[in-house]
Amino acid sequence: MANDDNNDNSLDDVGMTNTDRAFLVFLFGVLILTGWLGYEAYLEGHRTETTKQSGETWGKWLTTAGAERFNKDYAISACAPTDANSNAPHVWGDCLKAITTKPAELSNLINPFTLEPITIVAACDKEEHTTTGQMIIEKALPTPPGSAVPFDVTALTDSDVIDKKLQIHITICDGGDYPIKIAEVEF
Amino acid sequence: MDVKQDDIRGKIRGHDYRADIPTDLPFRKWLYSWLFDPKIEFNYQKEVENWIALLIVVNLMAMLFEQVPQIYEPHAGLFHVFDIFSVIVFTIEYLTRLYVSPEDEEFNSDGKKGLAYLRYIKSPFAVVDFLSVAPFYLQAFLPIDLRMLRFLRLLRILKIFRILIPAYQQFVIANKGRTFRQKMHALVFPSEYGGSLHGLFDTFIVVWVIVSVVSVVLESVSAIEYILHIQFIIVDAIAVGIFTMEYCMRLYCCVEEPGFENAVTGRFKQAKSSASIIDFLAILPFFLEIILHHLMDLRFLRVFRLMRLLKLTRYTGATATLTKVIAREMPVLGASAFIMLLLVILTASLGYLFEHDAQPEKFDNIPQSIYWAVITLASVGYGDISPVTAGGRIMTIFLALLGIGIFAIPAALLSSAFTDQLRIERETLTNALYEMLSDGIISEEEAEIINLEAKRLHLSEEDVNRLIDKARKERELKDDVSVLPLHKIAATSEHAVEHYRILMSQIRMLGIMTDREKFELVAIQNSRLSPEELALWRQIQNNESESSSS
Repeated sequence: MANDDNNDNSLDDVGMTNTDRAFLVFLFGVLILTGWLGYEAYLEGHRTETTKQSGETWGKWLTTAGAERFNKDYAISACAPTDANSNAPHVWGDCLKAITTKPAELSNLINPFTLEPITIVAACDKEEHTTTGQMIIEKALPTPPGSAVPFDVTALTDSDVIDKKLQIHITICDGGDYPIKIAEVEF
Repeated sequence: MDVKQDDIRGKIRGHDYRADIPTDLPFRKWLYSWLFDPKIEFNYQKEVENWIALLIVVNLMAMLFEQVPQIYEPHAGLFHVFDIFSVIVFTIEYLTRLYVSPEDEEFNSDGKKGLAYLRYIKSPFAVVDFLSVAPFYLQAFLPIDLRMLRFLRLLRILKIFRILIPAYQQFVIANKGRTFRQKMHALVFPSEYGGSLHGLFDTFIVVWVIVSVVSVVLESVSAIEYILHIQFIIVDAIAVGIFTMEYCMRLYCCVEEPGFENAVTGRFKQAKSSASIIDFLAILPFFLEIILHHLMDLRFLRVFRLMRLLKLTRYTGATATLTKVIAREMPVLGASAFIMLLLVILTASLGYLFEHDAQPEKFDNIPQSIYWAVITLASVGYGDISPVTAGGRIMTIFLALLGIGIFAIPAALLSSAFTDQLRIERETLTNALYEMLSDGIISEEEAEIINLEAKRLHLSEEDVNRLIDKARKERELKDDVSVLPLHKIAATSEHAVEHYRILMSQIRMLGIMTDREKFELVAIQNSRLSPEELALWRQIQNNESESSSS
């Protein structure tokens, strides 16, 4: 036991050298850098989550509107089917304008990447990165029997008539302009 | 040669060896010896600690998943059942430790049982154990906010210190008087100074590799990615942070490794090693994607995060064995690949020749026919391209039959090479045992080496004993000079002298046992011995008689 004690005394811990200290500072710096980059990735992920939530809000609104818009005296007439008194059929462009113009419910949705109101685009643009945080609204039309795919999905254009029920696909463009499918709703 | 058999057997164990704890011990002592006594080797103490640690990690993961409503809400019942299970296990552990505490010298230094219980209850580990289960029981009597309850459950993580602190204390003692860099080396690289803390460090890295790879795989499932997008980002950032620190630490302290001593070239050599390159590639996509995402789309690099799986190769001998096997069989594998290449080109050309006119869209050119040839030779046969002409079909019959043999060659080669490698490694261990038995004693260090090898080669205690017996017999055989051929005896002077001594002794024995007069009569009458040989015989026998009479 006494020998052990002697050994312990003779083996005092060697302190850190300047190189060790410099390495620890470097390691701390690397950790800070990784943390900062991780935080940046988190922020971008959070922005994508916010965009997804906007897409879900759109999905919920379109589902509710889809169930109500064929009722008489539907509040947003531009989104209701064409009535007998109308000169022209009701189209998606007018409906979109009605629901995204203030003070409409969906007009408050902001694109977290640009901090401007969300706009509807035809497709995510991975090359130019002009569609980050924007939304795609597409219509799914059934294909003729025997086709390879059951639905033909194309962008819902302003001139599309909305007199009948529409199967709508909502997609958002994430931070890297990759599409993320949000919902398939009946409008 | 006095090889102490029992002494050797006592030190060497196979991977299935268990401690020999007497069954007639008092139950409490017996239970403590089997489950908790850290001083007894090969009991279940490490297993108990590892399973508890695993349960703590799973608890931590459950707590994380509880934060995701999409996961928690549909499976709230399962989470609750798991929580009850964990509390039951932790409670049993706490009560068992309390029950056996009088057997622990730490709490029962004065032999007073009651005080031992009290000392245990007051000990920091026991307090942590208690706090990890107390909130669960408390909520039965007191209304506790769910968030508060979840926070209190985080205390279960503190239980991990029961493993960490003893490992750290052992590490500090083993590294007394060593420099900071040497300590870091002991922590990161395998060495005699690392102890349990190095094992825990490795386990920590392995766990994060698995977590990271699983999250990369799950990210590709859009339904899961949709729900856990943020969580995946957090896991990736933490994993990269850990792997980056590990990479830097390895690079800094590698100069303590033999052969890497130079501050610059040693580190460069380390950076060039395959393990370091894998480590670097495991973290690179994260930095590149975030730093350069404004300039170019580097999301495809994310798939390379799966390379983190290769980090596990550092912790298994399987890759080393595979590399050795491939290196050894490279000439044959190369020859086999060459024949395969010839066959593919030849058959693709013939396929093109026979089928091009009949199916120009499918056999448009030879490169397109190569696809068909490989798919047919490998016995895959998708059927998207198939011959229609008689010539093409006949050739395909031969091609398919040939393919079975040709493509099976590398598989058979590798399989037999693996078996060979295993045999070689076992023979190496036998040779090592043979050398170690030369002095008749197996030291603690030698036993440790054998035990590690036995563990690596998955040898049972029986296998190791069989190898020891084999080595021992070989060693005994070597010591018995008489059974060796004369040229082997002549090769070693010691053996030659020994052999000469044995022969002389045998001649003397012959003189004692036989009738000398008759012997000499027969030798002279039939000229069976030359005069010199007879003179030598007489001299040996006379010397023997003189020495006996004196």
